[in-house]
Amino acid sequence: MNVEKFNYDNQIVKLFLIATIVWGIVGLLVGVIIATQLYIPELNLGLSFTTFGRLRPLHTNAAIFAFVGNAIYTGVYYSLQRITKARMFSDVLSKINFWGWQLIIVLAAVTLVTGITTSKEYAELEWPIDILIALVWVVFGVNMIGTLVKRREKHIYVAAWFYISTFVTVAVLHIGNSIELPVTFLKSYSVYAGVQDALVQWWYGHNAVAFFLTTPFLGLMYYFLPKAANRPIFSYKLSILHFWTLIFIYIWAGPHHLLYSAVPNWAQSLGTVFSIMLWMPSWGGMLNGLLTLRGAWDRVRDNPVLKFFVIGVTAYGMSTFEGPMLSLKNVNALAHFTDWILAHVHVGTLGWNGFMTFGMLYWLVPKLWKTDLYSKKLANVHFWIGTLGMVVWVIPMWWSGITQSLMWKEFTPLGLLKYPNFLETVLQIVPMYIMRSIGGLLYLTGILIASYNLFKTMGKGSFTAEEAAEAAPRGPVTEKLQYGMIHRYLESKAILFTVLALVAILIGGLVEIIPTYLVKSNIPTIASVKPYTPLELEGRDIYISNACNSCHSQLVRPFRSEVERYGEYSKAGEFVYDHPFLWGSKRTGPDLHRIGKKYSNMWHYLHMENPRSMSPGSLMPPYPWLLENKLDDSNLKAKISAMRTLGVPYEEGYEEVAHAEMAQQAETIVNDLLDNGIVVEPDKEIVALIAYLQRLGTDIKAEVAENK
Amino acid sequence: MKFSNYLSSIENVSIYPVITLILFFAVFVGAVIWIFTRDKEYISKLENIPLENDNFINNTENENESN
Repeated sequence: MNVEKFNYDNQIVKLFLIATIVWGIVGLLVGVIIATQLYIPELNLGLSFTTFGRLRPLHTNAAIFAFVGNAIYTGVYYSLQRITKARMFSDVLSKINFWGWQLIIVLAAVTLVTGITTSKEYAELEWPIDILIALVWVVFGVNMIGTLVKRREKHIYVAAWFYISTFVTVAVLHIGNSIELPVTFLKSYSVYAGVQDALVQWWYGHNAVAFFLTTPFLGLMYYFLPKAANRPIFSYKLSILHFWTLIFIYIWAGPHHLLYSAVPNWAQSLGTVFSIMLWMPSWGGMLNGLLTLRGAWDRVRDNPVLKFFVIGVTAYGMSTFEGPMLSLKNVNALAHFTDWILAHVHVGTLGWNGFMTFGMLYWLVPKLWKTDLYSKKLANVHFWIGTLGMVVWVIPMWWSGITQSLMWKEFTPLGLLKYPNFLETVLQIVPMYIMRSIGGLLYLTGILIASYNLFKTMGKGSFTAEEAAEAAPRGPVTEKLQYGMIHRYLESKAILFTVLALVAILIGGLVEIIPTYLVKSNIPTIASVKPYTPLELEGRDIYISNACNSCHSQLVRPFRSEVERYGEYSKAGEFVYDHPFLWGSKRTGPDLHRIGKKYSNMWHYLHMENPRSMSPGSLMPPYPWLLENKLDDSNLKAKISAMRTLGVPYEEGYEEVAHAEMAQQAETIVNDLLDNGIVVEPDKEIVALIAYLQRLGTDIKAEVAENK
Repeated sequence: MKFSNYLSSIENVSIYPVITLILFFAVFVGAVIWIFTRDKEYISKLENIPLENDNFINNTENENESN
C-alpha cells in the first residue's frame, strides 16, 4: 500500500496558543479596569488614553480579536491538519497569518487609546489597518482551503465546514462594513450615512458574533469535544442540519439591534423573525454537544477539560435562548441600551468562548508537550473560580439592566417622570457595578491560574515542533454521481463547497442590505436638516475620537418615557449627513440626540472640565484636556471635500471659506463664554465640541417652529 | 411620516419576504432530504474522523476505499 510520510506543524499551533493566553490576560485585565472605572472614574489617572471611552473598544477588540481570535487559529491549525491528514498548505502563509495578526492587535491597541477610531463597534480600526486585516484574513483562508485541497483524508469532517463558513462570511462582513472614504492616512468617513450606516454596521456587528464567536467555536466543539470524550459526536446528521440552517438564518438577524430605532419597520420585523428562528439551530448545536456526553457524565466529574466544555456549551445554549428573547420588541424595549445586553454578551464570551478555549488549552498543552497536566487541582480551582466569576458578573448586570430600565420608564400618578434626573438611575445601580467588577476580577484570577498551570505543564514536558505522521494519499474520486450522491461529491470539493457557502450567506446579506440602499432615496427629506458647519464637523470628530458614543446614545426611541425625558423621538431623515452614524448601543449616560440648546455653552464647558461640578455624583470622567488641546483643523478642507464626495451638499469651493466660517462660529461661542466669566481661546477643542453638542438634534426644532 | 411609507415606496417590496421564505425552505428541505438518505456506514465513517489515529494508518476501511 502506498503510504506518504509527512509532519504536522505544531510550531504554529504553539505560537497561537501562547498568544491566546497572553492576549487573554491583557483583554480581561482591561475589562476589569474599565468595569472599575464605571464607579471610580478617577482610575483613568487623568489621561485621555486611559479614559473609559478609549479603553472600552480596546477591551472589546482585545477580547474578541486578540484572545478569541488567537484561540480560533490555535484550534483550527491543530485540528484541520489532523482531520485532513495533511500539513498546513504553506508554512509561509501560516507565519504571515500569525505575525500579521499580532501586528494588527498591536496597531489596534496603539490607535484605539490615542483616539484613532471609526467609532463603529467592533470595527473601530482605521482604514489602513482594515486593509491589513483583510489581507491577513485572506492568507488564513487560502492556507485553510489549500490544506483542504491537498488533504489525504477523503471526506471533509463537519468541523471544517464551520471553519470555511467562518472565513468566507467574516471576509464579506469585514469588507462590506469597512467601506470608508479616507481623508488622511489615519482618518476616514464611512461611505454610508445614518440609517444605512446603522443597518450595515449591525449586519456586520451581529454576524461578527455569529461568524467569529459562534461558527468557529462550533467547529472547535465538533473536534475537541469528541476528542476529549473519546467518542463520536452524538449525531452527525444533526450537525449538518444545524450547520446549514445556522449559516442561512444568522445572516438575516442583524436588524434586531435596531428595534424601535429610525430604521424602517419591515427591516426590524425581518430581524426579529429570523432571530427567533435562530433559536432552533443554535440549540441543535448545543444539544449535539451535550448529548455527546450521554452515559459518560461520570468522566466529566474528574476531567477538567470536559467540565469546561460542559459549562461552555451550556452557556452557548443560555445565550442563544436569551438572544431570540431579547429580539422580541417588547423585551427589547426594556433591555436595549441597558446592562442586560452586556450580561447577555458576557454569558456568550466568558462562558462559551472563554470556557471552550480553556477546555481546549487544557487538552492541547499536555498533548503537544507530551506530558500530563501540571496540576489537575489548579485546573479545577480555575473552573470553579471562573464559573463563580461569571455568575457574579452576569446576575448583577441582569438586575441592574432591568432596574435602570424600569426607573427610566416610571411615571408618577400625575404623569411626570418619577426619576427625571438620569443620574438618579445610575447611582441606584452602582452596587451592581461593584459586584460586576468583582466577578471580572475572579474570572481574571482564573485565567492567571490557568496560565501558571499551563506554562508549568510546558516546562515539564518536551515539545515536538514537527510531529511525524503517515497516511495514504487520497486517490481520485472514483465514485460516479450515481445514486443521489451530489452532496457527497460537493463535499469532496473544498473550493466548490466554499463557493456554495458564500452564496448562501450572500443571499441573506444582499436581501437584507439592498433595500437599505433603496431606502436612501426614500428617506423623507426634512428640509430643515442641514449639513454640519465646519466647526461642528470638527467637534463631531472630537466626539468620535474620545468615543463619547461608548456611553451615550444619539437615538430617542418613540416611547412616551423617552420623549418626555429627552424630547422628540429621532427621525430617519435627521441622520442623512451622519457619516458615520453615532447612535451608540449603551446608555451609561443619557441620550444626547436632543442635547442641543438644552444647556448653556457655559454648562458644557464646566461639565467637560469636571462633570461633578454640574451633576454632583456624576460618574462621567472629567475631560480637562479638551480645554487645553488646540484643535487640529489642518484637514478641514479635505474633510469637507470628502463629505461632499459622499453626498453631503456642501457647495463647490466651500473649503475656501470654511476656515473663516469656523473662526466666526468659534468667536460667537467664545464671546458667550466670556460673558459668563470664562476665558477660552477660540482654537481649543472644547469650542468645537460645544458647537457640535449645541447643534445636535436641533434642526428638527426649526422645522417645528416654522410649521407653527 | 410613518416608517411603513418606506416599505410601500420600494418597488415590489413584497417579493422580498417571499424570496426569503422560498430560499429558506428550499435549503431546509434539501438538507433534511440529504440527511435522511445517507447510509449508516457513510455517516459513521465521517463521525469517526477525529477519533482516528492522527499519526499512523490504522483504519482498514480507508485502505479498502482508496483502492
